[in-house]
Amino acid sequence: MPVTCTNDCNRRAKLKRPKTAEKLCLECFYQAFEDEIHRTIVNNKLFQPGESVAVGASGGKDSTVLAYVLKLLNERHNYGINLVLLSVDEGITGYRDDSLETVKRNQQQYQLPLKIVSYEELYGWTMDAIVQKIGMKNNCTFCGVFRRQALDRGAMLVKADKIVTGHNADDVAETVLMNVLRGDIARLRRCTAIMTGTEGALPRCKPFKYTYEKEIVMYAYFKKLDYFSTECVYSPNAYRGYARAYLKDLESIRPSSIVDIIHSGERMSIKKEVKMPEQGTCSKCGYISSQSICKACVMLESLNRGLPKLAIGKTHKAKVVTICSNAFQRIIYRFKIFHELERDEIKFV
Amino acid sequence: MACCAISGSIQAQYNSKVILLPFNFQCLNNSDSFCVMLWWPLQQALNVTGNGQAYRWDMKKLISWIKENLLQERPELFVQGDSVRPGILVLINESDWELLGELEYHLEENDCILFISTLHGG
Repeated sequence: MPVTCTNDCNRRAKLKRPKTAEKLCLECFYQAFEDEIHRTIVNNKLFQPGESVAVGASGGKDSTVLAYVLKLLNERHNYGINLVLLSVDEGITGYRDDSLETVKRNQQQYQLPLKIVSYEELYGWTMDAIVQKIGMKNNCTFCGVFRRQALDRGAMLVKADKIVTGHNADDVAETVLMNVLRGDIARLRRCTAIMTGTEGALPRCKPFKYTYEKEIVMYAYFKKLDYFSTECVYSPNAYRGYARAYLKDLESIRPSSIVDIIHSGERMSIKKEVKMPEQGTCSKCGYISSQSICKACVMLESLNRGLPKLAIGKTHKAKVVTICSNAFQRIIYRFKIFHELERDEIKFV
Repeated sequence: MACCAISGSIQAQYNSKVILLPFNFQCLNNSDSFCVMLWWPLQQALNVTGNGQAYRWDMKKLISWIKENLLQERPELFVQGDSVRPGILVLINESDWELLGELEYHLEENDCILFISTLHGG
């Protein structure tokens, strides 16, 4: 029994929009999808004419749809922005090399310039090498921290004024849940912002903040966009996986849960008296950081010194251990008691 | 994902009543989604159910059949309860199954069922 489009266009409905429960035909869906993103961009004043905007492109569904839609809207509504595709090559064989091929095809399809920055050139380490060193556990921590910075550095290389990422409503809602569960107030406040980093670092924005994953996938499917979708070969972030499964369960009961959670996240406010960690800059590389040395530098140093375990976990713990180990080192040298210590302990220092 | 296990069984299933086709759109050229083409005549569906009554499969039956017969490992990545795991989109003849009654949809000859998982790229 064919269902007709709710928009009275007499065409056959092809899908149900999760947010509004409207039954739409493809033409009306494309229109609604694109208009909604356009409204998000205009209402939040995401772009200024003349700006150069780097699209964080992984080759996955979100960033592919983002690049496609932004190019389309830029032409349709004359934003006057210059789009650049920006990819990060983490150096993961069997995953990123394939997805970068997709980005290269997108570059041809959408006729946009492409810049690829690699972990290897930025940090001297590929993820494959890091995993060899630290094993399959916790490597996402390294990757996440490095990727964030890599995008910023890449954007500076192409002289972009802004970075846009394909984070969708589901991602934002997941992050709200995770930050609530972890009690991470500072991140909770930041994660719902549609634009971050306006002070100092390059601003980042998420034009898909209110766009459901289902609609992005449907859009990519029906428009036959060329995207890549394999899970990373290294174990995916387990914690996010649980938040994600929970969120999907909620969505299947009540589809509006996703925007509801985002809305709750936006409405949570922090008393003025509460002291928040201040964002300064890293004394080593100058990148934005809430500590005196940024996480990427701590991790990189630990990798280079062969102590990657130190960089994982709470920063203050790592710091305490570093301080202790420095003290130990001095004692060891001073009293020349090498023979009394286990080999391992010396290595640990 | 679960679908990897499925694409591996294409050959084995070729002579049975359900053909699995790896989805051949250029955009979905990998294990992320898979397509089930149903082409058995109703007569043969009788053999499948074996109860002698004219019975057409619904989506619920199809999903449990896929779970029993095609998934070799980690079925929980595809099935949850009677239905697909939340987050897997189902298209029946290029239409959202939410418009067609989801699990209650009765399969027709030559229906094309497509499962798209919404994995995180990153």
